[in-house]
Amino acid sequence: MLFNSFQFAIFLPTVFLLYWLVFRGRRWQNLLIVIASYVFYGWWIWRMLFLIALTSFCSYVAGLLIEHYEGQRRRQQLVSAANIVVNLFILGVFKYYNFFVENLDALLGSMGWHLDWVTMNFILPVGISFYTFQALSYSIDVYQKKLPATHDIIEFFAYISFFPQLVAGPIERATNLLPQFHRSRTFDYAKAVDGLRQMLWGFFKKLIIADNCATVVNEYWGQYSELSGWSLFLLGVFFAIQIYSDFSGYSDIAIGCARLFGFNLMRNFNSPYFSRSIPEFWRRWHISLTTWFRDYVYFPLGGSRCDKWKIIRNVYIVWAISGLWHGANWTFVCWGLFHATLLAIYNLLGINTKYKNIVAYGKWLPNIKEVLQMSLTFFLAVIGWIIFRADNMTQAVDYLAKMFTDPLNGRMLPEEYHGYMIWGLALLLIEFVQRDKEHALQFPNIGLYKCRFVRWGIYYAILLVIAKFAGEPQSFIYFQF
Amino acid sequence: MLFVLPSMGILAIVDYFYSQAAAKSNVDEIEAWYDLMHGQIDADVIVMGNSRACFHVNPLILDSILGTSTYNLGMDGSWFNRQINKYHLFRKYNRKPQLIVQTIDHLSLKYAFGYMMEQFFPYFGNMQMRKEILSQEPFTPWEKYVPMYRYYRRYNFEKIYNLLDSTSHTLTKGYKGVEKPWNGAEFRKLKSVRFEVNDTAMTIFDNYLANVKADSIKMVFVYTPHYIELNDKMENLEEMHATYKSFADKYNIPILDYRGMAICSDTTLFYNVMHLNKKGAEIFSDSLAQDLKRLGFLCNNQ
Repeated sequence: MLFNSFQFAIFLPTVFLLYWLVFRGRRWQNLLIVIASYVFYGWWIWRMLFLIALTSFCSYVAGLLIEHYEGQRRRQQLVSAANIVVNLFILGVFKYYNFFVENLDALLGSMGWHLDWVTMNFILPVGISFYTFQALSYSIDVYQKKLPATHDIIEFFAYISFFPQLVAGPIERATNLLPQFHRSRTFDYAKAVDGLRQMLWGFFKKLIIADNCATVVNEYWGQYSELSGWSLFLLGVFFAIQIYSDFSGYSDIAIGCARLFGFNLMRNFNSPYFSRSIPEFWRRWHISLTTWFRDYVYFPLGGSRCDKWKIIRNVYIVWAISGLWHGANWTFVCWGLFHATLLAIYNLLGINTKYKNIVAYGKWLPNIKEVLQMSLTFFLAVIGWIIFRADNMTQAVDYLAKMFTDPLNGRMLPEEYHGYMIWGLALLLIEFVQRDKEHALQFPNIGLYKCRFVRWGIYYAILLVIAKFAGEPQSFIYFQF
Repeated sequence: MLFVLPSMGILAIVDYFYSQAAAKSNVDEIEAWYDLMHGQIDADVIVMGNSRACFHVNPLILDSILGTSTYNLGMDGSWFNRQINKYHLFRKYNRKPQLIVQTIDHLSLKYAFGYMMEQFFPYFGNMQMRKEILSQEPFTPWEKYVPMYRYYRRYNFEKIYNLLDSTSHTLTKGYKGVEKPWNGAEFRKLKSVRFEVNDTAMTIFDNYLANVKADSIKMVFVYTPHYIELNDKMENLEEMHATYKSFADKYNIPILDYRGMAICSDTTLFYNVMHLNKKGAEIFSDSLAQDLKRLGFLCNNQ
């Protein structure tokens, strides 16, 4: 079930009313969340429910066994490792099996052997990368004694399958989300209203900005060889705006929706396109994933507590895996390695940990240096997104080569699409003004914003814009991961 | 709730009154539904088909020659599946006719939806329309269930206003006479034309004919005139003839073929290869009416 579907518009109020009015009490509410989440997820392909149930069950049992083997570290290690292997195996089969077979076939093909008969038609279960990592986070945290194992299977299943963030994150940590299922929740009107506002903003980003940019990108990407270099760059910018609006829009909807039920999910995007460096960009983009890799891969490899070359090695390993997490294609791996290279450069220059506050903190506007830094960072991010979006590495290389070497020869993008760019710039402007807020519709309680009718007027205006100008429906980009 | 429910309530009221007024509009084929949905078709003869029915058969000419009442239910831009849905609605709200003049051609037995869906907008509150047509047309759930959304989404504000302002009649008992100059350029770009058949459309057509026969309504198939150039480009003409003949033989339906009329080589009587202009339609309607009278299809002129 998509957030931007009519079915969800019926589903959400129904679950909301049942949650607060009928299923009273923590345990009943958790049960309702499990049922609702499985209905939500099963709406696509109900057979995939067995996979998420299996993942949940394995990690739940792993947690209990780790607790049971208290004092027997070796056994705890084996259980944790086994759970990781099982979950990654499931993920690997559904997501990477054909990728590896096809590459192995290409390699062996040069020696005259062929494996193409071994490929299989696996349907990629929506959200498998997200909920698998969320499940792993639990068992690893229990092993590391960051939280006790839960004995309530309903609570655990609710944690894994919680529908607002099930299919595209944020990838929650057990230490943050699981205790919230263990506590009683009471209805908080202000929190619910702010959650709705955040959802509205998310829908605006997704339906107006992302889907309209997608129209341009989908239409012209395949014709890249005919476009001028400048148009190719613009197309890359369109995709950068599309993927940000799509993914952060989804996160806003997920976080806002969770707040309706009394849950606080972690922030997933924090104005990444206003970053002054690539390391800062990655502290602001898909925060839940980058911190997951930091905590569960980078730190165990030694993190930054080793010599410079080991740090760089660790960065490359993490980003290669991160690239692969995004999909079974060399373009994703190369995208990861591209960012690893940039991060390594910033690391070697010693400026990777700069810029913890948002740009122009405490000021109205950034200074010239900050503008140049943001422009460079955005430019580098666009290069990365071009690699990310390409169908294969040949296309990525061709695209970038043409973009840099032939800026003026070729077709230009039609002027009618310049309007979409204005929408994108308007989005960035609004988000810049509200950069210190959780989301752009968090109004200060002063002046005109105090008046309910002013706020409602803004909501109606956004709804009217969405109703009139929503682009052709596109699925959320990160569903494919 | 405080935000959503009053808004939906107000929109529902606005939608009801706006749609009532919009139903009288002559914009986007809306006019073609008013008489039908308000039970105002009192006809012994109805004409069924696509645009070649709608633009070719003038009911007033048939009325004057046959001495009866005729109504044209032809649907511009619509294949048979939509036509049959219109027929079902016609039967729900209007009395049974004596004779159906069913136009047939190489495009009739296609099965498709989606063209000019705006014509159904004023009737979203009508359960029969929802059942027959809206359930099959590719409207989004938002358009089907959120009041006023379909108008807002598909029209600009000028058109929303014009819907209420454009109430002068452009149809004459469902017929639209087209006064445009000849243009054969688009057709000449085509290499060939095929009789296209869809199995679902065939089944629906067969059921329709069976129901008409069961209702004791007479029927005649009519190949209306087209410009002679079409014959040269038609790839599977014999297949088309055989298909319609098989239906005609099964249900004992006579076939009247006007594709050999002298007017078929006169570009002053067509506005494109497939459609007669108003003058051509009047000549054809006269011939059709004379033949219907001569063949004695109607009880009151035998």
